[in-house]
Amino acid sequence: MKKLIHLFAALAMVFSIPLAAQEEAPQREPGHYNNNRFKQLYEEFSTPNTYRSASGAPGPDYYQQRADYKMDITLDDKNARIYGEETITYTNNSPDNLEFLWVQLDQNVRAKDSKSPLRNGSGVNLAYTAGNFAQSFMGEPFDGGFNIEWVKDSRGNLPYTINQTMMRVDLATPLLSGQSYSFSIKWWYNIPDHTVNRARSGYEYFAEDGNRAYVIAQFFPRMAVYSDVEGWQNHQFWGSGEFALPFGDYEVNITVPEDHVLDATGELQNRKQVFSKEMMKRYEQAKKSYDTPVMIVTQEEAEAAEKGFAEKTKTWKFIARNVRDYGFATSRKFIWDMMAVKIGNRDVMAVSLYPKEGNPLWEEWSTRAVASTLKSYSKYTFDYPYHKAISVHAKNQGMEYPMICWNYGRPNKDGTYSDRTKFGMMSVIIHEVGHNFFPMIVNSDERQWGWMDEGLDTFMQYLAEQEFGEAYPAAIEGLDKYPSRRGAPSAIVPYMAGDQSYIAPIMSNPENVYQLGPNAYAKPATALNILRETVMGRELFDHAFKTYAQRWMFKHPTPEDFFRTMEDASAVDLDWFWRSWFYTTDYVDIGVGEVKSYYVSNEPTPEMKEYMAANGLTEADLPPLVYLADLNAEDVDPNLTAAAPSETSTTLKEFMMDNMTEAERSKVKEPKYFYEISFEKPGGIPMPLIVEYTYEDGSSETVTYPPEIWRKNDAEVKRVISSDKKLTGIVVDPKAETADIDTANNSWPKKEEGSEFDALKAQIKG
Amino acid sequence: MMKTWILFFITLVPLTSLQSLDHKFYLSVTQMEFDAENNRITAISRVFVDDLEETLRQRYDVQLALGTDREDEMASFYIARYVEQKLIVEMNNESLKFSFAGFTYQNDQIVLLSEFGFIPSDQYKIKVTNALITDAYSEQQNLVHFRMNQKKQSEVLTKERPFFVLAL
Repeated sequence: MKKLIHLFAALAMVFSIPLAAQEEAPQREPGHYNNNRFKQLYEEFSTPNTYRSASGAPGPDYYQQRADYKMDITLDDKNARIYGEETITYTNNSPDNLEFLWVQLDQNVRAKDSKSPLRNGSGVNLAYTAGNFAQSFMGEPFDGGFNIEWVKDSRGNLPYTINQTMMRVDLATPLLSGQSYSFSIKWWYNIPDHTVNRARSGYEYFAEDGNRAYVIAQFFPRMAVYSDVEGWQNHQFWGSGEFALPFGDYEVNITVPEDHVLDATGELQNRKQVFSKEMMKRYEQAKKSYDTPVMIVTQEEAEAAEKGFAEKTKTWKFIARNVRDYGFATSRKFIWDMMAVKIGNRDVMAVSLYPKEGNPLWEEWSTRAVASTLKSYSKYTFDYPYHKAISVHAKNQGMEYPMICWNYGRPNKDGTYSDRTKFGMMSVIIHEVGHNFFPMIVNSDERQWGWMDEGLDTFMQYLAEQEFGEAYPAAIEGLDKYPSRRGAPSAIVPYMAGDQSYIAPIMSNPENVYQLGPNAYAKPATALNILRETVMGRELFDHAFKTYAQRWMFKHPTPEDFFRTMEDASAVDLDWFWRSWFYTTDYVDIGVGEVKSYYVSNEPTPEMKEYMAANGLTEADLPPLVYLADLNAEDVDPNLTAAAPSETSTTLKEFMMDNMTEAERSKVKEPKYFYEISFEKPGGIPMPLIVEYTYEDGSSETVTYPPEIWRKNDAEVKRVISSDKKLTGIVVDPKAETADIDTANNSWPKKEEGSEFDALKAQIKG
Repeated sequence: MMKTWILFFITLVPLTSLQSLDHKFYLSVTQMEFDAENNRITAISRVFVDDLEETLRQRYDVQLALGTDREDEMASFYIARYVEQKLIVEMNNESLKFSFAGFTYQNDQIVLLSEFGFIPSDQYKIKVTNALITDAYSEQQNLVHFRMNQKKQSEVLTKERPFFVLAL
């Protein structure tokens, strides 16, 4: 019995045995919590309930509120002012009775007394230029913000309280569960110049022709979200965190000067009233044009209209069903083109609105980019359910609303434009049109979780950009693929490797982070790309992603719903991935350390001899054993290497003679080379260990060890490989798929890496 | 032999990537290294092309069209002149001689290479001034990572406080 136990132990210890050294009285280590990186996210995730299931799908009691709007809006072009009157019908589908309603007044961020500019720190400058001083201390603040004339319901005036960008309307009797309630508001506000402080809506003034181009949104008091997760939203609109909005139907009538060209969220109800006969003809043409945009208003017509300054007005009437917001763009400067695109078995119109300053770039590419984006996103999620998608040209803007978005991309006055401008414009159009899917339809809470729409949209944008480049090679003239700026794992390395005091986990509120771009856009997009390409594979990922999109279209998902659904639909445990990529600021750094070579031997190794001595064993006590001995030990006969194991170990030869037929013996492949390779993980994030082994004969093979390899060996793990060819090189993550922040430790033998400064210097000279 | 310190630099998020955002970030990142082997301090500065273009336009009344195929041939002259005035390294109370090693473009940033030669000494009291872009945009923040002897010091410099003394 004793011998058997020793035998088992001996067989297990073929490699170097770490001897337990005798230490002095050890300090007792304190106990610890479960810190394993593969721990499930039970503590971080909210508890599943009947509103939101553990599977990540909406639960049997899932509810959402509804807000319908009937609005009459007048735009005063001369004074850049909007007057509005609306009736809101709010339906309480929650199980709770509501004593008051919260209404969002986002324009108040521009009010004179807005606290928004006060939320950032500032210091006294060493010195001021006269202009700076005047602006800092003497300027008149813009008189923005909503002027509420009245709030009333069928019985009369309603008491209301304004807290900056939120207004509480107190109800005479609580709004019971299941009931609807209507009330009306009348207001006006001064439209801001959006080019001054990058407000998300407003006008741009063109001094040359004296006209304004308006991109109008956040223009009406609108309902806040009441949900099972937050109750009423209680986060102000400070400027960085965006919007949480309920779904509903909108009936909107917009009155503008009669020479304005206008498009908006929703289906135009009175086209014959607002279109000329010529425009109607062109519109019918556009509906059947699937390859080329048709001009509804040409550049000549727009340039002529610029001189109009009509006094009379026209009213455009729209109805939009099941949307979460409303936006419109209007100007007498606008050129208008449209094209049809097939989505599923329906036709959707791709539309662009732009002043002449957008040409020649806009007439060439805007509508085509819209159409391509709708097709790409629909493929990965669901068929775009609305009837149109509009791209509006606006200086320095990139902002999204249901069916309509604002995009930058302006050529130089002489019509020339750089690649930077061209690709910038195409990318922003793809990104903003993509937002129709996230968050306009998969309606996440942007104020709490910026990444849920920005990260997901940026990830999809990368895929859509690549497909746009393939569909329109002329757009990427000369390049072999679209030059996407985000998506490739190596691009996120600098952010993740950077100074920890300037980075925050993705699961942070957008108001509170420094580098919001990488935090909410690039890092989650890159993480999803890595999940798709490297961790799950495209088939599993695409199916799970589509499941998420379809479970939550026209609903309000939370981060957990996304995280759970991705696992639910794929049977891939991803808690370790969400934890490291989304909940921490950890980074990836995996490398190869020591590589030890071995040969097969009859003779007990030094470590084995020590073990035997320590346990009072002699060779006679043990059965015949095969040893792998260190090739780099002293006195090792080099001829022992590169010989077949059966030649150097009689024990093995005897075994083979006794247990294999001659035929089997002649076919057996005996590895001659044995290596113990140490892989290290100085970075926190566990990732699949992708290793490319290269051999003496020039051949190579790539082995991917699953991320679970790190589950019990967080800092270092060893693997043994045997081969009939000599190993000459090892590279971890050869295709740069894991966003490894330090590739200096990724190669064996180690690669000498020069200084980045000298590398750049050489690149400039050369 | 210099190991590449990829570990310690942040790159900028270009303005053009701030879709659906209200606020632009005025931020540059400069990685500096004390290169004892070659008796020089190197600096790699990454600045938004748009911001540098606008700054030079205001300062010198030139349209350089940086990064485009119509880039002005005098671009290097103006950039070198500007960087020399705004990126200053003093050692033991003396200004080190500035040498411009060129520039290149990465995405929406311009990468500026600067070298400051010095004479080896027993002690090194180093003061770094980085006032890039602050003349045109007072909100500009210049992040500087200074690496010396395997240790790193990071500072955020602003118009109000454009310099720091190395404490490594």
